[in-house]
Amino acid sequence: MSSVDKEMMPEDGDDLLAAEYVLGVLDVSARRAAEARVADDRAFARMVADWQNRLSPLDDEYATVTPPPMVKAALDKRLFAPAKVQSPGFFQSLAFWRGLSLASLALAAFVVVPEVLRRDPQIAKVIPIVAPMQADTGEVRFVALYEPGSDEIRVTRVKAEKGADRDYELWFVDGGSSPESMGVVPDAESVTLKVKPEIIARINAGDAFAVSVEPIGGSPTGSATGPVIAVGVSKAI
Amino acid sequence: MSAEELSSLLPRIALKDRAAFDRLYAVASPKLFGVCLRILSERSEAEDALQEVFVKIWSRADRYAQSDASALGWLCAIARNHSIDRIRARQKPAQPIEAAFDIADAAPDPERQAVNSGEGRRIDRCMQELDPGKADAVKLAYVEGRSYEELAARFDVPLNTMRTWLRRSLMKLKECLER
Repeated sequence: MSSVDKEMMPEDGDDLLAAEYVLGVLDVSARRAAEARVADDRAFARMVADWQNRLSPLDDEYATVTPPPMVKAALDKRLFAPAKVQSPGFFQSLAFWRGLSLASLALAAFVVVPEVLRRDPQIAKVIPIVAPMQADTGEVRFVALYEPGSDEIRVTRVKAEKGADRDYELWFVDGGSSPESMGVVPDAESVTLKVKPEIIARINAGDAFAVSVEPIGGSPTGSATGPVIAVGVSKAI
Repeated sequence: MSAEELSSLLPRIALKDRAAFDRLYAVASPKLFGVCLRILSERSEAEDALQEVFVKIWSRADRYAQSDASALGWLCAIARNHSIDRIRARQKPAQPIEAAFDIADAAPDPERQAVNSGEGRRIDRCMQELDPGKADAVKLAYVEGRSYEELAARFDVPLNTMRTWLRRSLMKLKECLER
């Protein structure tokens, strides 16, 4: 053991590991182990974040190099290409979406809404739209349903968890502007939210809906401040 | 690209706002491509890596809200970590540093320097307090993602010596930055 190792106090061990992880000198298995600790050890995650902040001024060393346009094209195709069309039928039934409840949880977990109609400015005026909102894992957590002529959105909680000191908040994203809050979602299996007429007028197939976890009463800032736990794009049914 | 604009885009991307994502790509992709290229050296692999980095940004943008990092620092960390994972996974020595991609002499990004000049000066001063060879090793490790093994070979010292150098240098840096 070198004199340096002896000089270092035992509690320096974690801080050194955090520093080595951020510096990038660890091998693959040590990197994975460090990332696993970041995920479930708050104190260690804090050390990593502190080292990140200490060393990030070195990012100045990186020159800027414009990537070729095909990278963005490939990226868009990968992230935003329409999902493969599934067999229509059951999931296009309005009765199914209206009656969506815990009992249909098992079914909803496999839902892929078929894209039956292309985006059309008037579509939501005549045809209901539905947005299953999924976690990163693909698991459906919430489903939003809008029926033409209504001033409400029905939100069904399929499977989600939050702390008692938190609220779910529903967001509407129609591409052109910043996401807008549709309000706090009461913690119940199925609820209806009254929505402002100016947002109702914009609801359409192809818009995105998302749920974030916020302080009680909803985001204090007007945009999501907590983790976004479910996201989905709406389709006409 | 202002720091304010970048940090305002990430919460919108967390809500799957594509316009915000497109804007972020436009302003941040040259810097992040620079990161991937510097670490990976090979252009085609850097292009693949950049694509993966933006997939991660799209799916993890909500985590930015919970961190206190600068937006660009957070983005660069994703690009660095992904690129370093790729070279570590290759399991063979990377190209000699001299043969690395020819952007090595390109000037640092002046906009970024202006944004962060206060921080930049402080880390430069603290790096100067390290022995010159050790400061170079720290910089190579961070900027090019070199492993302990590669650095030991590069500086022609035993692996344990390099480990000791870097650990001691990191603790000195921390002490100096917090002074």
